[in-house]
Amino acid sequence: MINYIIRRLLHMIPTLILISMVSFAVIQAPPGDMLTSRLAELAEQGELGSESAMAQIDALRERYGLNDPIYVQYVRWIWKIISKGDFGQSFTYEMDVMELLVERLGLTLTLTLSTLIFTWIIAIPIGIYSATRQYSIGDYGFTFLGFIGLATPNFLLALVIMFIQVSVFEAESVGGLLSPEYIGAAWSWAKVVDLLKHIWVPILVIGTGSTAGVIRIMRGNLLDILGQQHIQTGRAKGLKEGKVIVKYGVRIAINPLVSRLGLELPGLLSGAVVTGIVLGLPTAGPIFLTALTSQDMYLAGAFLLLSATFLLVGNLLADILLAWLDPRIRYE
Amino acid sequence: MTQPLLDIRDLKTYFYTDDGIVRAVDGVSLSIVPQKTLGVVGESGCGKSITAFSTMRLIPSPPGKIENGQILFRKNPDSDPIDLTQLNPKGAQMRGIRGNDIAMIFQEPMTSLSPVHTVGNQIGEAIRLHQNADKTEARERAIDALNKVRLPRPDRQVDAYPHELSGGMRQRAMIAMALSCNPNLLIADEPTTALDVTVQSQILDLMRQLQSDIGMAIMLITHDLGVVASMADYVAVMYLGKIVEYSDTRTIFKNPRHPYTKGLLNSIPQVGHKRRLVPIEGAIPDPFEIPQGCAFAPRCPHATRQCRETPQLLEIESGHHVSCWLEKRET
Repeated sequence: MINYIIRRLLHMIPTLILISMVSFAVIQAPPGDMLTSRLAELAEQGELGSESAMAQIDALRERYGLNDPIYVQYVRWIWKIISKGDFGQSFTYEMDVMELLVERLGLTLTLTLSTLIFTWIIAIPIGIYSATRQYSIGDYGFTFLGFIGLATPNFLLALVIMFIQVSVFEAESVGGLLSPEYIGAAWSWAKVVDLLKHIWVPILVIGTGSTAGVIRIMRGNLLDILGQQHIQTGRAKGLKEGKVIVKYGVRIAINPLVSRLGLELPGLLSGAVVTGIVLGLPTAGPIFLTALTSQDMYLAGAFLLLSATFLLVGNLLADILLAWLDPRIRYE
Repeated sequence: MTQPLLDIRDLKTYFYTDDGIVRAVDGVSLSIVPQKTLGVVGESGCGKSITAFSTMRLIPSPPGKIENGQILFRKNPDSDPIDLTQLNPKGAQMRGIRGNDIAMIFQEPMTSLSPVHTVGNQIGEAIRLHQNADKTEARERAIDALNKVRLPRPDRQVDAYPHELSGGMRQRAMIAMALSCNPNLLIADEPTTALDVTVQSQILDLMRQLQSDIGMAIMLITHDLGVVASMADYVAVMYLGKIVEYSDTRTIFKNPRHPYTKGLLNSIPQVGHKRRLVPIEGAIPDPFEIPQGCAFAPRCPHATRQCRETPQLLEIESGHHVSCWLEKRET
């Protein structure tokens, strides 16, 4: 098993190198560079063509090495990351990319992991209920609700909830993850409580869609397993029905959900961009969008690279977890 | 005569499906004497397994339902019989009987054990459930049980997962689980059908030997008359949910009376006799459209107009029951 993990980690290195090259190339692909928007800005101020403006742009070009061939830029970029962990400067925000991302990544992970837990806590029991009472009124009811959840666009649900908060409950601060007075403040109990007061909205909005999916998967898997012979063996042993379902049914039916986890991890980072924008969340998704539109190449590059790493690590974690859960899967 | 261990009287188990009612078991009566083996034979879909599952009260409901009859079971020879049809299938009393007094093994050793739990865990579970044993004791007794079914190196195999065992070894493990609580009755539903012929005879030998060690009765469900000949003391031949002939094994093979039993015997090959096999004409009718009267009549070479009425299962000689109008005519 240890050997297997080491081998998998080594395999990740060439994959990551390839991904970093592709991400860098993709960011460079659109015409222009991150100074194009600065030029447009200067043009608005009527300074385009002036000596000082052109000199300023040229100086910036030189500073960021934008006149060098692309492979030189790539090597410089990747070498800084490997040697110093320096992801470069964000041009738009005029600060260190890492500094910019750290708090947002923390909040993003908090939000998305809570959403995941919320989804599983809601969806798995419902899936079990639906499978053990197939074609009952309850089963149809949950299926119906699930499909409504699946069919409602997240941004719409976000808007509806904010509207209700404002119009019915006359809430003072809607959207975001924190009230204005806590933004930038040091972490304290009051700040955590404030976070909890805000975070349920995005959890609910993002969670409703995936809950329906997880319910369907859980229901289908469990129905499959409950039709198998070893369930009958458990009953023939004299076990209680509940124990048969949990120990011999759910325990096996949950495995495909675990392998799905690996695919969900990168989504944790970049997912829910639309919801993030609508709710004005200080998460990573919205600034990724900004980075792409303003061609903020170091910010976007860091983002793509981190997502890819998350995907690889997530898959590895899910595979290890699955091997631990299911003895039929052996990594020798 | 000793009191029967299990006495099924006029059992009717029906399935209510969207397409109509399937009378899977339609008035079956049979009894099993302690320490003896009853073979239940018949083609697929004749209700053998449903009779067994009804006894275990493991018929999925809905759509299945025991409509009529009694299943009388004695926990020990002197006690009053319990009518299993009157128990709540999920209740404590029925669960206490399942796995402890009546155990069951199944056709598919490949799928009848959970793939994600060790063999020892699954055997020990039954012991802990019924015998108040703690974890260590259950493990010891699981190793004992594996030893009894002659699984090689039981102290190591107890921690094996089912996928690490061969089909024959898994069936041995299933038998070990079934017998771990020393049941009075073992229901074996096609226990050797999915196994290689050589492994089949090993498993049958094992079952015979364990039967004499433990002293349990066996209800052996099979479509293989060879298995019945080597294992059973009595035979019940079933056709479309009814018993058509019932007798001791010797009589069934030497002096079969029902045309269906004769047909079954004619369709098995015999070593050394190069004769043409005679299959039974036709196929089992659609379970939704079982013919009126004798269900076998459409395939029977001796059918007459009288067969449109249902024949009764009559004792034509001591211990030999046949349900056929031919017998009526002769006597």
